[in-house]
Amino acid sequence: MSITGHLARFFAGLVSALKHLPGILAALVRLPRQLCTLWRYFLRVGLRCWKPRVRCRDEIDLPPEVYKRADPMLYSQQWLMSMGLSVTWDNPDIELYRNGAVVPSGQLDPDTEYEVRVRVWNNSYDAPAPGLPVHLGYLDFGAGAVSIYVGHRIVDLGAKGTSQCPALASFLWTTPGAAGHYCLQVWLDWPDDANPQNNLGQENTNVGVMQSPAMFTFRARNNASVRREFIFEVDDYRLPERDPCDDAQPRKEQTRFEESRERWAQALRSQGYGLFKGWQGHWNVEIDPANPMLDPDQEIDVKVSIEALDPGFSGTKPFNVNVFAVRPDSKAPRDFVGGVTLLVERN
Amino acid sequence: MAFKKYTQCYDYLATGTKPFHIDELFAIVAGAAGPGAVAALLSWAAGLWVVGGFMMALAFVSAIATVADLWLFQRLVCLTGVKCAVGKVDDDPHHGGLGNFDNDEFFNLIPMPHRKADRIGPPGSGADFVTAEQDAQPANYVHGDGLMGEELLIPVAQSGNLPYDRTKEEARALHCEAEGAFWVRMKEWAWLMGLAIGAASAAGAAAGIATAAVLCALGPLLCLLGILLGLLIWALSTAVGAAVAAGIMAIIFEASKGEVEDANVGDAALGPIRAGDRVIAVGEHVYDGFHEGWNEFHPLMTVVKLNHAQSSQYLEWDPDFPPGGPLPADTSDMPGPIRNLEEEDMRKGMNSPKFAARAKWMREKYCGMMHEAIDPGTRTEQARGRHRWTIHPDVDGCEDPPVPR
Repeated sequence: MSITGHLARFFAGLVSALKHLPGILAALVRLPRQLCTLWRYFLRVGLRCWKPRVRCRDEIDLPPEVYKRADPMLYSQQWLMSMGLSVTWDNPDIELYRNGAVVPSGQLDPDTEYEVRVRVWNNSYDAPAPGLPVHLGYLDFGAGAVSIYVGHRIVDLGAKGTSQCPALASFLWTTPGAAGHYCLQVWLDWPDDANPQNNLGQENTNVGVMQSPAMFTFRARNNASVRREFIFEVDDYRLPERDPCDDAQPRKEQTRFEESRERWAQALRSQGYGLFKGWQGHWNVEIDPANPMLDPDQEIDVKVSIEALDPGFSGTKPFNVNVFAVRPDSKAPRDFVGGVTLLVERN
Repeated sequence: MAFKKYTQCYDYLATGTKPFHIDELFAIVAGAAGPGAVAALLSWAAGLWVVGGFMMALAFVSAIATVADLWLFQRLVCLTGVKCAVGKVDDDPHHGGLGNFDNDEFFNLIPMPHRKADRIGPPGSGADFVTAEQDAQPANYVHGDGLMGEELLIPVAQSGNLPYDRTKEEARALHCEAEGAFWVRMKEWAWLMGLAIGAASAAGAAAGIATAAVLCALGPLLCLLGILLGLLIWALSTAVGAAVAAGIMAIIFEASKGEVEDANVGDAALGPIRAGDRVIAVGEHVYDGFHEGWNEFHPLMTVVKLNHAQSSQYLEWDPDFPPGGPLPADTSDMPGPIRNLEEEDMRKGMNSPKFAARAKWMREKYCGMMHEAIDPGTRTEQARGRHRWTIHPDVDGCEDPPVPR
């Protein structure tokens, strides 16, 4: 830049400073309040602001309002149970179809092709998940509770509230030739997931017609390398009827996190684990063996008989059998192993 | 939670005002701070220490107010509005700090399907050198790719006759900058920092002048030494004042970071963006005139990582694609003409019609999803009760009431 150019900029700076002068002097009024604020800030952060931030040379910490992560999810019993909610194994996001009609997963024919439709949600308002792999497998109880992989589909999952949320993945699956009972497992594989805990969902139902009593059998397997005692807990939780949305009501002024916490608290109050014991006194449920001790890799049949104490019962009643395992000599919390929803029917 | 936006780009063609440039910085600061600084020196010469300190503070505040306004409102020229790009984070992301002019966090994005080594254009286009592979497959020159390089990185009509530096990395990789509040906070807290500097400077001036006066009484040689010593004391004291001001800024930045409130219960901690990450970036397309000039995203509004584990989800030109090498997989939603890429397509890159069409399709798909997510209509829809669930729609969701017939 030439000398005249520099001089011009010098005077431009001078003029700008003069223009700012009234505002600058007026800002002096804020000084006492700023001193108080600074003191408050200092009490809050102490000397931590002096510590240099540690990070690798090839990394950058973008602020959370810019860097967004998708949260692909489906109804995930493990996640919900770990958060203290009751669960059903009749998964609302996994449905089986044959010739276009819904088929209960507990009433499948052997060596028959079914369409498995999986509904995937995104719990992020900002980030889509294009190219999301959806995997399908099943536990074949007829063959000894072995996990068998069916395949995967790639879906484009939009952000919540967009036209591509929820996304649907469709699989064709032929049941094995031997008759048995299957637990379908679906898992989502997203590398940059806001919450990777809610990616595994299971569909595991069994239907029994009550003929005083209704009889069910499922298999329990100890996948751990240590001996464990198995505990079976029964409840009659089912997904709640959804309330009608009230969009006329203005939304509360709250952050997303506050809203999320409030909703979890409400769900824990109304759907918390352990709340659904109302069947006791009206039904007789017996599990045999009640508390089996299983060696590593040992697998047993568990028989469940369910009988209504009210002889006039008709309709369908779900019972969820949730299975936990605990090491008898350990103080470690019990592991949530899985479960099954048993549907008792009587017309 | 919305991205932070402190700067405002301006219409260069309408105003004709050139953007604030680094070469002008010194002269502008001198002009803005000069009167206050001269007044401070005269006050100290007259023994008016407090008045001098105040004048020094005034000089500092004037300079900050002037530079902040230029930085925020006369540095970025508006180009083509809010745009979306897909690419790979370059190997050296940066963050601003108090030592730089702002605390913006930024990285350069190599636009898909280019490689880091790719140049902007053929000889004569201003690129520092060209590669033989690009000469053989010229549609892979960044500025002539018919895709994001050509759309976002070349000078556009809105920047008129402003210079464009084709030698910089930012001419071939899109500079993406998330805004920090440095200059806004500087302006807001300038008096406090200015007074810290002014007080320290005044104390230093007093001590320096006193030292010089004592030594001057002992002879001319010692007087010269005294003056030098006095200046040193003043400079050191002013530096201490500047350090205190920097400390004040550090406290303010740390305390006003806030909490990550845009999250659901159960969300894991946000990790960093790393070199090599494949991302979708949305930002305001502007021309940054502070240096020699280039186009960039400023502010960066959203960044989302792509699925790096699936070969179907990204495309990169590879002129040395090995025979029998793993080809990108197809997905069921891909139109027929862009499926089944062959080795030759990978070697030709954008010179292969199938490769080029696939790159365009992927960019449109990703950016379409991003644009839908940030669309005001979507934001309105997301505020409705049916989308406010946080656990699962069947657990804490509600249902739209039936429409009355």
